[in-house]
Amino acid sequence: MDKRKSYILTLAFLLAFSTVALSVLRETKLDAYISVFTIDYFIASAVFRPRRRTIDFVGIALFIAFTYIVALKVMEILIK
Amino acid sequence: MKNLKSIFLISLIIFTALIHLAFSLKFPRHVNPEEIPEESLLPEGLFAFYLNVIDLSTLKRYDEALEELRKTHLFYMPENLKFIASRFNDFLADATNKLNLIEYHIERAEEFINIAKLEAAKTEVNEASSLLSETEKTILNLESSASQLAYDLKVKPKPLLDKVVELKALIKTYAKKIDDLSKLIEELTPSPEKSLVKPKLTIQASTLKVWVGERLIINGFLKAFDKGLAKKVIHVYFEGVKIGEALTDENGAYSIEVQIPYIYKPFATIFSVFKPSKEEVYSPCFSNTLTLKLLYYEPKLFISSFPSALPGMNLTIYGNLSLLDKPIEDWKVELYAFNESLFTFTNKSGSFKFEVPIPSTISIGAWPAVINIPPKGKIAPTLKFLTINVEKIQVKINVEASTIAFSGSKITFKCLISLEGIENLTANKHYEAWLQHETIENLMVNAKVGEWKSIMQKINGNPFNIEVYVPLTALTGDYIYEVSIKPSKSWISSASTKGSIFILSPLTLTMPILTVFAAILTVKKPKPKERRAESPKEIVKKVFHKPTEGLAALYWNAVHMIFNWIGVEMKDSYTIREYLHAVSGKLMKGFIFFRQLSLAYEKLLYARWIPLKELEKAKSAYVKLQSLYEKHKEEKE
Repeated sequence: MDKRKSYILTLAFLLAFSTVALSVLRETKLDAYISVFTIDYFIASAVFRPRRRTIDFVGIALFIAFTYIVALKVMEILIK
Repeated sequence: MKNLKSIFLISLIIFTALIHLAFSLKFPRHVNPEEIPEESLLPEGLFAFYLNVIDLSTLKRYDEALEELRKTHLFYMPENLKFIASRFNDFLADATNKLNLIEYHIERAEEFINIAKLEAAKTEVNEASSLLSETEKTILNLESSASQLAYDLKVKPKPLLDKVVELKALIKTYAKKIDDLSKLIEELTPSPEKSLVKPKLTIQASTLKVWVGERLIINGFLKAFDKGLAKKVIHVYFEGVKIGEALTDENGAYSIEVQIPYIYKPFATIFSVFKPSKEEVYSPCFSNTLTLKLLYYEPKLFISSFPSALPGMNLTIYGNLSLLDKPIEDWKVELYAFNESLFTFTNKSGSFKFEVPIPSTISIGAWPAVINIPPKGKIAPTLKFLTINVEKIQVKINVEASTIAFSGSKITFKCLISLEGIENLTANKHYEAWLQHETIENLMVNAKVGEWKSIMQKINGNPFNIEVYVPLTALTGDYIYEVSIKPSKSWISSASTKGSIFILSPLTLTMPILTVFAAILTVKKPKPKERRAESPKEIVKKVFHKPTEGLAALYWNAVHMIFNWIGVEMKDSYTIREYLHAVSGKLMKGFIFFRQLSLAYEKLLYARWIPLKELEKAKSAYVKLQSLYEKHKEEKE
């Protein structure tokens, strides 16, 4: 199996597993889901290094969302 | 495709089985302790408690107030209120304690004045004065703390601030009393400037048992060196207050008829004082102190037991006033409760009745009240402290809801409301009449699941349903639901009930399946390049139409032919020899021809030249291979 296929399948299984795991743990916050999906995406990308034709727009979007969520949490702690 | 379907179905079954198993388990989640809502009787209970304590203080029942304040350490206090509540508590305890001490020092000062110990009295007055200035500061702090406490308890600060104003008024009365005592002590203190003759002053009374308001003859002597001092002014003091003055005769004797003030206490002191003018050689002097037994009537006040009060309703309090077992008629009776002052008069049988309006906004709890019988002539005042328990009719709400629901749907709560403890109230005559028809109507019902709310005005009907729409965006998880009711009547309490409901989100259920399925489909689908390579017709057409294009065209035509023949694909990553190796076991007789063609093509690609003989051989090998393929196709057909 080539690298691209392995990457797609691994990412799909990671996302599916994360969703099921978070649901089973009764996680109701969307930010938790987005954070875990971001981590899944970057892990799969780092391991398989798929060839890209353009800039990784998905990765950038997920990273911005993740930074925003973390910033909110940090602010929450600091303001308290 | 057939395989794909079966894989998908098997995966779906396994996934469903596993997810069902997983959701049935409840993994303990970490809960942030700061996010757990704290439950307590606050804020109403705490607010009512402090109002009651201040009431006790303004009634000068300091010991009881301090005793109540000591109970606060037993209270459960939420973390966010601990600081402000303990601050308010400390200020209130401090103020109450100081007021108690002021009262004590003033009493002591009066006692010392009565026995002519002016220095000791002065010390007591000074002590009371310094405590008073400290108390004023404490009250100011208490006032700001009261506003903060009310803000934190999310209640209106006005009732608490009103009580603080009452405390301020109490301080003013103490200040006046201290001022009066200071003036009196100053008046009575002899000037230490010159050495003076100290005369001797005596006092006697016609009787030591006297009715209040009646006249009493006081007499005595003022002597110096056993000789009576004539034409000297003698001041007579009753309980530290001047009630008259008399002039001594040539023998130094004085006599005066005074009216006993209407002071209703068992014993009172009386003494006389000689205050010489500055020119005289005598020093001021006190007489001996006479203790009089004061006679007066003490009426008997009886208050019938009364039920708990309901906010917004009237509470009827019955009582009776008698003197020596005979009713007192047309006598004024005052009642002080809930910052209101009421009065009424006794009837022929000495009975009286108060209709006390209970404020609708009042907190539940024990509220102090006072019934006061003002004095009149020889009849002493009577005071009775009451405690009015303010309660609300408790409402209970039972909610039935399914334990599991899907997001994107409406959740229905079946609610049943019942009144609790109404039997106790209906058993009482006061409320029997109207509680018989008491119904639970016009309630504001509020249902909340997670962050989604639903509000409805319930007009009638019990049980009833209320629905809350949970949008599709709600993720899978346990959600807390709360159904609360707020009655329009102030005497009925609010009630709420909480529970947990598991909401399954179709998104989180389908998302894993769809993701994996989409991934499998993507993987199975060939790349665009591969798709192009898979369209052999076009290539074949080119080759067949242009067979003279060279060995390269023959080779690739042969590759395509072999792919159709034995199904071995020439991948982009394969070299000519790798592909030759891949087909070696499967091509059988045709392999030798394909080998000749492949090696010739390889040589054409990489060598500087190729023998014509070899080129011809390769071409004939292609023809032979082609004939073998045609033969194979015919057999297959």
